[in-house]
Amino acid sequence: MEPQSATTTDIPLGHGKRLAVRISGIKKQFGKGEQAVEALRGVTWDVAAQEVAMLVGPSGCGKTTLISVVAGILNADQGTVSIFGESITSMSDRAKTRYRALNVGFVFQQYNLLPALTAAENAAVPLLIQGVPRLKAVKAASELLGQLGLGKRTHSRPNQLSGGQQQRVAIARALIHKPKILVCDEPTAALDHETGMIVMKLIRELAVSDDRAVIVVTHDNRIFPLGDRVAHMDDGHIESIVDGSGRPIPATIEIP
Amino acid sequence: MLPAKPELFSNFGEIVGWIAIKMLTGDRAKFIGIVFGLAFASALIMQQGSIFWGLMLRTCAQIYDLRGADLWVMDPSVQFIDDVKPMLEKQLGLVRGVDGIKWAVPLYKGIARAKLSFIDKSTGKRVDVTEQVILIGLDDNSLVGEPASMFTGDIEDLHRPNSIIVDRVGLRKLFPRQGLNLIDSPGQFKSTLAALTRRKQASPMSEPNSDKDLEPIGLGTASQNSPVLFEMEMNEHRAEVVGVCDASRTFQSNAVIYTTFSRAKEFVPRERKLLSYVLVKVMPGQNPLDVARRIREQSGLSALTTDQFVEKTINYYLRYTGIPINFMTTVILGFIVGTAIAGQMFYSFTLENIRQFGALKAMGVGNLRIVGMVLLQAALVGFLGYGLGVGGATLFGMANRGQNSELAFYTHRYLLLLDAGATIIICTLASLLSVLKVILLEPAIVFRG
Repeated sequence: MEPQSATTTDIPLGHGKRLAVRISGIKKQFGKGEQAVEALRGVTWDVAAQEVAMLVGPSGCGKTTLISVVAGILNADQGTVSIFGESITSMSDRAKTRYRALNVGFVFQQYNLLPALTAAENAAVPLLIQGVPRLKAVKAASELLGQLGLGKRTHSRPNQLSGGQQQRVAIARALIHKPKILVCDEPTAALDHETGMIVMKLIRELAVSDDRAVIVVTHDNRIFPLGDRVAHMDDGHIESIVDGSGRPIPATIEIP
Repeated sequence: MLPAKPELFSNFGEIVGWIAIKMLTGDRAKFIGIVFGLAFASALIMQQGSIFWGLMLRTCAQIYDLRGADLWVMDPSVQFIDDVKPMLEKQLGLVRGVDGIKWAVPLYKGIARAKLSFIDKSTGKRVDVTEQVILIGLDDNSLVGEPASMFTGDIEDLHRPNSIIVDRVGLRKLFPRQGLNLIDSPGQFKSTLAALTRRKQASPMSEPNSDKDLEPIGLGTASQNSPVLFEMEMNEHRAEVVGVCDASRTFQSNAVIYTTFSRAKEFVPRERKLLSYVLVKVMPGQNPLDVARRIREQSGLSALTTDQFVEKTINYYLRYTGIPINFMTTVILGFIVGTAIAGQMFYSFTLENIRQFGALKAMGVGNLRIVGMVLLQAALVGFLGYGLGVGGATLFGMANRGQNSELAFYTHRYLLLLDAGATIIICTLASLLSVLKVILLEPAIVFRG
């Protein structure tokens, strides 16, 4: 089967950038009746490629729900999400699973590395899911780990690595299959400031490209300056969006 | 850096097999715990099943031991081998008159009392001990049904007056303290027995604290050239043991004594009916089942092939004794305990890895694959547990096997299948909760801190 492609519907934005993610009117409610909680109340937000978009806000404001919908692991009740022009909200669950395997990279707060696998094997998992033979996948993962400064720790298991090293393995795992969208959930929360900055710089360095969107959910305001677009969320909707220097910008990107 | 994209999701085995096994074996303690839980259940099922099977075989051991005949003819009300309903000897003639029979010979099978003499080492007094024995009376001329193998002596010596042959395991009942049954060499056996039975008076040796330390004495004087090993008394008739044979252990574990049919009748109290069974050989080309039918029609007796008689005997024990229920209780207990241990540990293993499963789901591993991973893990621990359990039970059986073993242990191939089936069910039940857990698992769990 041919890998899914979205390049035919890509939208150029000028200045070499493209519209990567378009989130339109997303609503999501958990529970029913009096117990119902409206987690997302019609969120609209655009993310461009070649940028690091940050999603910030208090606990329970709907950040996690939003990135879960954007990453295709949670179905929205209403609204659409398209990534490089391809709508994922209209996909079946099976198609979403395949889409995630090919196009989505994840960096988790708790790393979620498989403890029984080595660093290289962990980083190779997305390739294995795609069908790359194990030896080739692990070789490719080892090379990427080398770029992340873990060339000598490829055979180490997660419990033999520091938090920063584990997060770097997680970054390698998130990027090994060249995803169209990288979703990072509190990537620096479990790390000290210095290590957190190193990790964020690595994400900027390695993840940002003209055919990828990077969305970082974070509480850590010390890393805000590393974002090109920072969306403040509260009570299920985006309150404001600023650029890296704190200047307000619109939620949607105007298509020329 | 990255190889060209291969056919998508082509290596199902890579992700399901390799990662699943790595995850499973990564937590050694839990892995070993699950395997041992299953091994325990499997071993218990196999061990109890083998003992049950062994006991069942003992119930019909003498049917197999009394070889050479195609059919067993008996009173129609006989339900199992030891349920002897004696017939009149004239019925032997009736059977012999049926078409298709090559020969038909009488067989006596019953319980007799053997009296043996000992010296009490502590008091020096002679003590007579009476033991119940299983008496087999073979056809005087042909000795059909003779023991399969002789440990010492010659079966033909049964033609001598007063002669009997005792089975080796039975010696343990007759001489409980002398360990004669444990001697493997016939020469050593004979010399040990001779030394034991030579004394005709009290031994000066006395063992302290021995309540009843009895030493056998011979009742007669065996000459150097005589085949007589020792003597005993049955129904006030002298019986000379001229050989020791190897016979299968019986359910009652009494000593088995072989003699001729006519002599057997002397060793038991006189009765009008003393014909226990008629052993029949059918003519070449005759179907034993057809001959059996003719015997039933013409004599009114029951005629069964060896296999039919074995089946009838086992069925009796299955139906009318509590043996199956007692064993089944243990087997069910093993099954429940195994399921509980393996299920609890397996589920806890899944719960501990739930974030990893969630991460894999988020990264694009579908439910089918995730369930496949869990089932593969369950299959692996099941396979190992089954192997270890069966191996352990077999070692137990091998360590306790032999003629002298009290343990009835026989592992039938059906037991292996039954145990495998039980292990599969245990693994299925154990993994069921885990499978449900991973199916219902929301991959969004990975975003929770």
